[in-house]
Amino acid sequence: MDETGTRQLFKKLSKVSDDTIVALSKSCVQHAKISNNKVSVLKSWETYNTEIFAALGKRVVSCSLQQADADIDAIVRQVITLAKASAENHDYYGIAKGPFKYQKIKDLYDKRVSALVPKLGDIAERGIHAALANGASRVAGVLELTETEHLLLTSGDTDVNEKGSTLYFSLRAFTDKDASGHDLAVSRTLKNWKFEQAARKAAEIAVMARNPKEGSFGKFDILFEPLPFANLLEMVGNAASMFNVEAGFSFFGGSVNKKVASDIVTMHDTGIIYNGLASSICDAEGVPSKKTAIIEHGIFKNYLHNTSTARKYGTVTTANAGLIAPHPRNIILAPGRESQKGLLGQIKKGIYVTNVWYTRSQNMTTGDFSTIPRDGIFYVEDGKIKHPIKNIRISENMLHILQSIQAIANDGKQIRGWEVENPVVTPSVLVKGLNITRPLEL
Amino acid sequence: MDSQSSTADFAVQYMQKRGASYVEARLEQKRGASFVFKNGVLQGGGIEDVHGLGVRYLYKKALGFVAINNLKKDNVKSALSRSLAAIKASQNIAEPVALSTEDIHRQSFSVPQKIDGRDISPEAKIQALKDIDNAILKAKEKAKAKVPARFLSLSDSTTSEYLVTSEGTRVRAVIPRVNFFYFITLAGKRPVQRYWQYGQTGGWEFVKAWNLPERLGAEVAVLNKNAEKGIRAPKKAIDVVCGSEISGIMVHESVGHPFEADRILGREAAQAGESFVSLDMLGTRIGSNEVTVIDDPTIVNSNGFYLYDNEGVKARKKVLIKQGIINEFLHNRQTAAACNMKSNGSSRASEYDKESIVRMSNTYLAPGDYSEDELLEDIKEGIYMKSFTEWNIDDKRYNQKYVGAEAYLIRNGEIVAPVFQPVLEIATPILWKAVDAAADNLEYHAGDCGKGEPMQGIPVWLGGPSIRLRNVQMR
Repeated sequence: MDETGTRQLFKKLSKVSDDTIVALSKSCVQHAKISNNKVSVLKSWETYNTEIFAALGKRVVSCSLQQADADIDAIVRQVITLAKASAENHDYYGIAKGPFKYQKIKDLYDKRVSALVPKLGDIAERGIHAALANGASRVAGVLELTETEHLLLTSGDTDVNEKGSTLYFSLRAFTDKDASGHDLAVSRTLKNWKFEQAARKAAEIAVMARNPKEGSFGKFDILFEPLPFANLLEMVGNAASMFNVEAGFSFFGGSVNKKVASDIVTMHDTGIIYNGLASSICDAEGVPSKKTAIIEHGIFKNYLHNTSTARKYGTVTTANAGLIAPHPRNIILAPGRESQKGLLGQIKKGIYVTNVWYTRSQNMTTGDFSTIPRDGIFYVEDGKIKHPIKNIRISENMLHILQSIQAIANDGKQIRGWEVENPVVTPSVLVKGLNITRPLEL
Repeated sequence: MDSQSSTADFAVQYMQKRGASYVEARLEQKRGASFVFKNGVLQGGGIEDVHGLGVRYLYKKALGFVAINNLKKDNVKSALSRSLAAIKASQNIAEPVALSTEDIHRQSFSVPQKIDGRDISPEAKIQALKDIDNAILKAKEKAKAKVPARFLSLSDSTTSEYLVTSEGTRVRAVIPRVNFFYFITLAGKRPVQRYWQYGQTGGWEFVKAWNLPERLGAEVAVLNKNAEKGIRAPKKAIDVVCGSEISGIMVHESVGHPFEADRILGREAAQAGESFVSLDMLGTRIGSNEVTVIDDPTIVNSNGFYLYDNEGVKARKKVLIKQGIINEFLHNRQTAAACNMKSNGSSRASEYDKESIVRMSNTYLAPGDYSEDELLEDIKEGIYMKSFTEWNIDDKRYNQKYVGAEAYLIRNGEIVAPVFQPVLEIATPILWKAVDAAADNLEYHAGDCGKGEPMQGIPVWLGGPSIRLRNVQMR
């Protein structure tokens, strides 16, 4: 559905429903999948997605249209018929009422991104070469350029058009079957996108990771690179959503003004940070984006709300709609003052973790989970990297991790990835005494 | 759909004229409805309406893929032209891709269903969720349990697909689906959570057959007892009986995934990972004689059902491990060509806008001849893990962990006490060599399997009977 169709749909739907939101996203994506030092497939997407939300009183319907030529009258009929047949959502308290004033956010769109499309192969080649020149023997990864146009119309008097761009490069370098390194570079604009630097770092980790020894189980201090710590902090950001607290998907139930983390932890959610992958002038119901403290000096401060959940709890929205469920935008962990090297120097017996994957919860209300370090994992003794290790698992509790953070570095990096859907900006972090497990026999 | 088929035909012809040596176009139309309950409150009804085209092609051995959902001819032409221009510009860095030679098929297939989900009213679907929620509350009262959070989701959809290739293959398919997901939280002496899903191709009759109110009510009672009265598992090497849920997830994670040939060849190395298995391990032993693992997309009404894959290759049953010996890997046409063999029909895409890649379908451990009781009979001291909560495995599919949800202590062949969340952390070859018996109680369970860039969640079944592992280390 194009803009004209979207406006017609909004007009017709808002006449017959009490609350209406229609959002059109047009995306153009160019994607190169890299494996074995080559581009294994070049993909492109040119798609229209229309998200519709309508409420008749407290009867709520959402509709996702992935097609350009929908029958508008039929869609309106379908939505209203379903709303009438539906039961009331007693948790629903309406959408935001505008009109709103919006502030411009720097570095969310770069028109030069679309001009790079014909050079996708060249960029991939430069990234591959940067890793190979730094010692990698084999690389795999993803290069992706995205341009979006977003139109948001609400019965709360919102009519917003916004353009965006994203550059994404993720590279995994190998020096052997058991030795690899991973890094990525993400940005909204070309000037902030250091993709060759990421390729070089992936290769450097892979070179260091050669000939790993079997890791041991027990308690270890762990220095996390931003890439793996973002994986964990995304869990923390999601746990701050009020919907997730209610649904049992959160370890922050009843946490307001309580100590949940070490004193040095200050973490916020923001939709307004420049160059932020999830930054935009407003949230999904048109509320101007803002910054919200989640944890300040170790104390839990705020849940993330949309208008409906905020009204239910007698507070104000934090501009985190999600129409049914509020969700994090950009999660930011405030940096410390020391270098990553300084953090490494504090470790007596520990592990330096450069990536994790397959993070799974055992209990989201308690925070029990485990995750598997992968790519370069290094045993550290007396502040020095001794040798690479393999086959370990971090079996832990997220609140224990937050409370055991000993030091935060000054090297923040923006991360989004396969397991980090909501972007996170985090420095390297040193955590004391974490539980490492592994199979006894391999 | 029929009137739109010409769009896919047009895309194939257009790309052929512009020099593509192979073109495959897949048109997909999907309509679905869903309802979500949170703590007894309907959060809303959902409608999904998808109509789009995915085109995969080879140009001078470079592989391209385009997805669009504006199906006007001019738009299709311009999107394909832009993709072609990009692929021409990246020839020097493109992997040379070959596809295996396969039979041409002109077929249609559909999934049998007795009750079309579209004929069930929204009121009836909402009532079905209410009945499940009420059963949880009733069980909670009876067990004097605390259940502070309940999340339930019920959905149905119908997908029509039309696949056409430049080689002449044309396959039409109509796939109805029903799905149920739940996530419940118990907050007693020891808080526990449990989520699981049900999914099949077919109609609403399966939602009834799943008997969800009774099953979820029983689950609340069992989990509560486990949390309140469960003892800790002995932390030592011990015999373990794994129920069907666990043998199913073990097979999926540590056999199905590492047997995907694209992982073995390094094509998924960027994220989903590689494999501890190499091509030259074909014919070598990886498990005991009791271990036979099958992937079979042709099981009617299964969650991973298809008769022709997304490259138009006829689907068939594949024996991945035969009595402990590695017998076959999962292939699409690209990996098959790289190994000088034929595809075994394992190419799937989750939606029109995803590239089809090597995937599992319904992967299960073949049943044995024992009853489950017989597996327990001669165990002096052991653990019976019936279901699980947390699990994970490394990206080579070697080092894995399963945490029991419903679990019991076995002493002298009898179940004597509930066990609270026993942990099995084990390496793949050790796991499969430790199996000394499989029961005759094969069951299948639904899952959404993740792989690819961007991530594709594809419906599968994972299954198995109860199995007995001898002398494995518990934590």
